[in-house]
Amino acid sequence: MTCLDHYMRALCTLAAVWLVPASGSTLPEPVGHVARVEGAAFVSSRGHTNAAKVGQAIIPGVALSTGAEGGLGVIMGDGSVLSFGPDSELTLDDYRFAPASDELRLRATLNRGTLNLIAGDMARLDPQAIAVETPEGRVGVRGGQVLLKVKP
Amino acid sequence: MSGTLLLAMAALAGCAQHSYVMLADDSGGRGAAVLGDEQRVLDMPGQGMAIAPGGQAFAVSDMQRKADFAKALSAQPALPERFTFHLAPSGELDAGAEQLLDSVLLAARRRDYPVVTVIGHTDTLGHRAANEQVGMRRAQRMAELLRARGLEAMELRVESHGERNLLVATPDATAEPRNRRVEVLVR
Repeated sequence: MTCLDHYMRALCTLAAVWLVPASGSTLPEPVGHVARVEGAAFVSSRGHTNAAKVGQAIIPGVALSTGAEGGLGVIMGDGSVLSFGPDSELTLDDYRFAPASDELRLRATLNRGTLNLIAGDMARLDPQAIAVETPEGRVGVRGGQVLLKVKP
Repeated sequence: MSGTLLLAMAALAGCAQHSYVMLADDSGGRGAAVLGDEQRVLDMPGQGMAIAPGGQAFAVSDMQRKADFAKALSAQPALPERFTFHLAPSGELDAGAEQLLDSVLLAARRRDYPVVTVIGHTDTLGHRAANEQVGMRRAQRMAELLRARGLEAMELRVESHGERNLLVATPDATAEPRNRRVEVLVR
């Protein structure tokens, strides 16, 4: 009985050791997740575009977009909230929330559409941390809630 | 009456040409947007500014705000909830913790796909690297406590900000009980 127990445990440990590095090397850490989807909303990552789903992980480099009647809301690791109206597209260029190693940045590009951004802990720790590029110029968000509209 | 309407329409027509940013809420004076090379600052709630160089601040009418942003605002998800547990010098949780633990469990249960982040913090007494470890141990203990109470989350993350995320600003090497804490973010 105990022998079997030990044997099983050893097997499980082996499996865990084998599985963890394999998935760890291919999947980057999620830095946020999709929290609301209305109508046509998409997440594009590494050349693949899929319909956004609530709970879906967000990683740096993803593009978030909405169609004609679409809406999309995401929440980032520092508590920052981003939500989009129809016909919007944003690329999350860079995101890092690691106060212990002094790394604080949310860099995104809003190519078109509307963005509602509520700054999270990131902005409280470093007012320079959040910046959104647009075709007409850069907007730094020091805190609070800002609304951006980028004409196509 | 018709004058006001004309003005509102002029404002709508004038600004609809441009990409712009507006400050919807300044979060008690801490919020603001800065444009270009940070020369233009938007710090009055309700005001907007064209993003293109040279744009001046203007008041955004309710009508315009609604026309431009009603859909983006209605797509806003339930806001994250933050719970702060303070620690006694012994490292034990204080008397109010029981109720707060229940609030965390309830907040997670209210969400379809809860993501819970447990973050340990310290004051600035001691070395920075050591404090990062202390923060991590505090967070791990809290995560175990939450699991033992039956927390169900799609993702449970355990992190330490060490002495780099102070609730109360202090110089280095300062004992400050209010900075010794564990935060739980439910989103």
